[in-house]
Amino acid sequence: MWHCPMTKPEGGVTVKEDNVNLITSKQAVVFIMVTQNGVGILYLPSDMAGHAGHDGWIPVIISGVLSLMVSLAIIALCRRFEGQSILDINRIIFGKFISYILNTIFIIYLFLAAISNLGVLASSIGVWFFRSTPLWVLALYIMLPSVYLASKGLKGVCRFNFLIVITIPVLLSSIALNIHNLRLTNLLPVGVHGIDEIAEALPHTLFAYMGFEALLFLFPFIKDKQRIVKHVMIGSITVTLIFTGFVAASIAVFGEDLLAKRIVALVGLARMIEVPVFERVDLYYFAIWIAAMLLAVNAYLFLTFNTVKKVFKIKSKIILLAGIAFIVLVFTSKLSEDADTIFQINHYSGDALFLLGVLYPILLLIITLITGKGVKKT
Amino acid sequence: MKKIYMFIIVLVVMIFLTGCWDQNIYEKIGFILNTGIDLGSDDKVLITQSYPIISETAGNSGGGGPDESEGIKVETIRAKSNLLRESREIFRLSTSLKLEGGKLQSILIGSDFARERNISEYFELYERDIQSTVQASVVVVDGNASELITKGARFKGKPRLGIYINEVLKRNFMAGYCPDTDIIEYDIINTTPGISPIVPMIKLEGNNIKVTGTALIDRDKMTGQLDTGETACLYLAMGRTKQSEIIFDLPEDIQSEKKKGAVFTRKVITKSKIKFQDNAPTIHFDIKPKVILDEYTWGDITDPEYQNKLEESLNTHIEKCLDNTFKKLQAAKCDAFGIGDKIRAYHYDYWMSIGELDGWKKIYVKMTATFDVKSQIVRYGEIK
Amino acid sequence: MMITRNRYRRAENEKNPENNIEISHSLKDNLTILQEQFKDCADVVMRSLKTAGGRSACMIYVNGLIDNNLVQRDVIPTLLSLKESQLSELKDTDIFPTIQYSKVFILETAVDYVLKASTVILINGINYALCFNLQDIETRAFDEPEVERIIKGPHDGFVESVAKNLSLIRRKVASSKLKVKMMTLGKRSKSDIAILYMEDIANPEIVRKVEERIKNIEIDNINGAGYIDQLTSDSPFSLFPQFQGTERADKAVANLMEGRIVILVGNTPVALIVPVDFFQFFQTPDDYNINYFFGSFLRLLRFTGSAIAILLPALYIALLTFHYQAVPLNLLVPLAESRSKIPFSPIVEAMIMEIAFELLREASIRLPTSLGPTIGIVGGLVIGQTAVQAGIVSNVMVVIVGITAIATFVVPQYDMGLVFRIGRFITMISAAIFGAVGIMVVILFAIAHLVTLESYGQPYFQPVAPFKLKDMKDIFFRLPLFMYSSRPDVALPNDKTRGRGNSKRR
Repeated sequence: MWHCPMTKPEGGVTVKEDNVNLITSKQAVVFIMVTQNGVGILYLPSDMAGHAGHDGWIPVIISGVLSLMVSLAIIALCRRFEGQSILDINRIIFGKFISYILNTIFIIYLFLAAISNLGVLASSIGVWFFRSTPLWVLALYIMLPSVYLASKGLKGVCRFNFLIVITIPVLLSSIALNIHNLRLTNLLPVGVHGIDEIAEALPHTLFAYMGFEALLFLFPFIKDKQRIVKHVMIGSITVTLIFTGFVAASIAVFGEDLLAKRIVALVGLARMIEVPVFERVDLYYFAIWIAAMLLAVNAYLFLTFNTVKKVFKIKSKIILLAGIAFIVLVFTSKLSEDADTIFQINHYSGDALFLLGVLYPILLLIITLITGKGVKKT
Repeated sequence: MKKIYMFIIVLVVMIFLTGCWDQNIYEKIGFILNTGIDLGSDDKVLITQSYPIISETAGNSGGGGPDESEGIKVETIRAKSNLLRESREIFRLSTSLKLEGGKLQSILIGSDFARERNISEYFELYERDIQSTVQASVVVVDGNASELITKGARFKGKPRLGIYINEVLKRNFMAGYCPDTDIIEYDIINTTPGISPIVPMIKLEGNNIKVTGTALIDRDKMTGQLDTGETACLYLAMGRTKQSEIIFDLPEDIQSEKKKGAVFTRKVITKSKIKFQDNAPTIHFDIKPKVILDEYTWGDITDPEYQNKLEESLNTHIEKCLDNTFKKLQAAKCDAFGIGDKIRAYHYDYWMSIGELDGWKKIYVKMTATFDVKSQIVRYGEIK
Repeated sequence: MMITRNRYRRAENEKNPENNIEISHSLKDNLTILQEQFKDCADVVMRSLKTAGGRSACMIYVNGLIDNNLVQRDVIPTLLSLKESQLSELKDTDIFPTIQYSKVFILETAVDYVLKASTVILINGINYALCFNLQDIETRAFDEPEVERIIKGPHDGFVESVAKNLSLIRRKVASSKLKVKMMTLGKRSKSDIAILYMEDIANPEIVRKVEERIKNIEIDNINGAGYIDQLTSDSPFSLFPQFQGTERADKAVANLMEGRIVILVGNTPVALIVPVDFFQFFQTPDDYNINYFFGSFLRLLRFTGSAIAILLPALYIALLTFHYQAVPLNLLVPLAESRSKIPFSPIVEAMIMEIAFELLREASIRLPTSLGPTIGIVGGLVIGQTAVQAGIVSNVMVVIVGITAIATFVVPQYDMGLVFRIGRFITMISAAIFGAVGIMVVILFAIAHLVTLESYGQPYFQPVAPFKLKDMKDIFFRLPLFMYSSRPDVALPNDKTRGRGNSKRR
């Protein structure tokens, strides 16, 4: 039912439907925040405690600052090409054939991200609620709202992200209700674990901050591009503060040794909360956090769907969506049965993010600054 | 196109109708409310578990004269094994209800077990399994846990055992006579160097279960105990306001047959300072409790000299009590105040220089602690 | 999709030559065709008269629809005394002393006029018919609708005649900006449709869309307002109502003032309002007539009630089937005791009770008022109590079903209440399969659907998504009236202020 005004595609991969899928820069930033705040927060505190002890919050805040800088670099890159997405930029810089290969690499990365997010979600449900149910049944069931939303386009996904208003307070309340258990001495003395331990922990934060590279794909959809810098800064700083606060609070509650032995800090915090009537509220925390993780899965499913449609110029939406959902489902269920495989995949996603989301845009930016390639502003 | 949708939907629905793998129907579950752990023979442990009986007649109020067997509200079962899980599987071989530990109220540890084995070894199960609860109280039994559970299940005129123990502990914790430690708190404090957990202690006395005070834990084993009066003073020194009654000797020149007085603690403010003298730490506590005079004798509390005398004897009593308590803590090598933790946080170099935890334990035993109590009687009820 | 198919059929019809016969000068020819059309219509009277000038004339009307007194007094005497000389003037001057009077040149239109309670006069020698709309149609008085009662406020509601409903609205809005567009719909029923909007507030684009969609409906008969709802909605497969129907005149006027469009349908007292958003269905006119604090309390109560209606039985099933550890300690043993007597699993027990209550509710609509409350009490108390004692359901289940049943009535609009009734069953089944995760998935799916639903291009779930802070003042609570200075965005109004300060701001 979209009434699509026809615009002449400039020989790029932009399709006419993009003009209807416009979102504001606020919505784009919420999209990024939701992707970051879903799955990564689960394993982050215990990872950090394992690598950097009670100074685990320091790598988190350093990583947050770095991700903000990379986001700004991405915006600068996209702005030089008058707000086209990375797919078009590849085409302009490298020509048709090589850009095809590069775009396919990006598609594989998006698949990997979707699979790792959905894998964490499905296996979390399996661990928290259902031990005996086969994983593919859980993954299939939980994917239904995602697939439905992806078929409705970017506007649907962005409007659905209003749920962030519920998920972030839930995260913060898990700390607020445990204030009497916070022990400040667990965080002191600061900086005892040296620079080398902190540096070693940095790569492990990448998976948590995964999401800022969505800006590469979202840029053409944004209506008011001039405000994107301000909103990206606000969003990035908020997410950094939330992550740092959560990791620091987890360390303060559990202490570095106990936290390193745990897998998911949120589960531990939720199980400690005592409430008068309900007694155990961890069930409700898990249920709401499923919604938060689903938001991240939504984002990557949509990006995969949209990118494949654009790069391979596929007309039939339904079959493509079903195909992508099927591929994601199959890989997720195969790979998520084993808990260790999930951590491996998360690690690979983090590495892929570093290559494609951090190094590559910076490289392109340097290339365009040097060679001066880029659409001249009229 | 529409037919394909229908087909897919039917296929999907058919998958879900093949049955649910993880159903756990409520009324078929036996909720384990208490678990007891004792030392058994040849390196095994004796696990006792109690769960309430759900019978159709148990719900009726004042039904026709119940005989002995119908009055039983709690069932107990025990076995010797190496693991909690193993014992649960042994139990499940013979019970009609499926035993589940998700609503565990308290885990009772026999004193012989607490002295010899690492307590938190058996808590690992509750942390690992997400369905189970980590908010169960950890309690040490002065004696045999199995005996307490088995006898306690047969108590007449009292609520079900799990709830009974819960209520007794909760009330006495509010009064400051015993601590309230659950599994997760125990684990957290146990793994933090420089602070040791303390655990409530109960005892079976005739047809009652009595709270006897605190068990002191050092590096996962029980090494000493305090009684209820000393626990109340310990909480005063920690600065935690509890609703305890402190019984103290009256000053000599007051004529009374009772010889003692009682005050009710209303609020306490404590400041502690760690000082280093000749490379050895000492700690000084400034305790300022505000108390309400509860019971002593006919006199005139509004007379300031009189009030001062009372406060003086109260202060002496608390200081003496605290000295005793601290000596017992030192003897048990139990650092309940967390002095080591504070030293590690604020004086890290010193902590490293003495060799961290092991070194600290040696120094802790020799530490001196001074207590300065300045109590204030703020209210005295209806008469002077 | 249905609309585009109808477009083709409609074009075919217009090419049909039968509908364009002109009235001929010969009375006999006209009467032959008319008698063929009205064969076996016993209530259509064709009365022959002769004018004073000797011409034969025929008066055609439907017995029972016209006002006999007025016709006898004003039309017939004039007709009988019509002189030959006046005949040529008839075309240009008004000879008949009636208010409503029109000339028709097409025979089919004259037939329509007859069936619409007009008196049509054909005179031999002239090629047009004279139509006088002097009707006397029985309608009931303006009564307050039964299902939309309020405590404080006007108690008048719509009736079955479009003209009378229009008069009711016009009384409340004395502005020339209130525009009315009339159409007929339904090939056989030819019902009147009136589209009302405020010209300076409503968005002309939406008005145009509404008109276009209604014009494109191809159907025989409009039996009720619901037909228009289903034939012109954006997403016909959606469970959620995309039109708001009301029988209250003050509600229709309030919505007009917000820039929405009201559609009046002939022969039905329900007026339709577009465009809608989700949170409108939780508002009643009462909220605005009382203090803001109590109005907010009532609003929140409604939302809580709806949440309870959907979640409570599902939560019960989920806890008892999968998550026993979330049951509070004090409830643990009593609940187990009451459940142990029941031979069914929680989902079966819940389904039995819920379906029994649904049957009871559906049946009690059709019972006469003398029996209705009795059956309610009998059903609720006796059957519930007996079922508990027979051991078919547990007493906790009866309490839950009772609370849920009451909570579903809390939603003011019937259409939205139905959504919660059905949603309850869906959530219950989902909870029985996947426990708490099942409930979450159903709720998330419903939110995903709500978020993408649109009513005439406007997002259904605003102002929650997309987030519009200034519209939030009327959703979960009702802020004091002096804070209401701008209209909500749903209808994209032209004039955003409510008559304060500057108007015509975009």
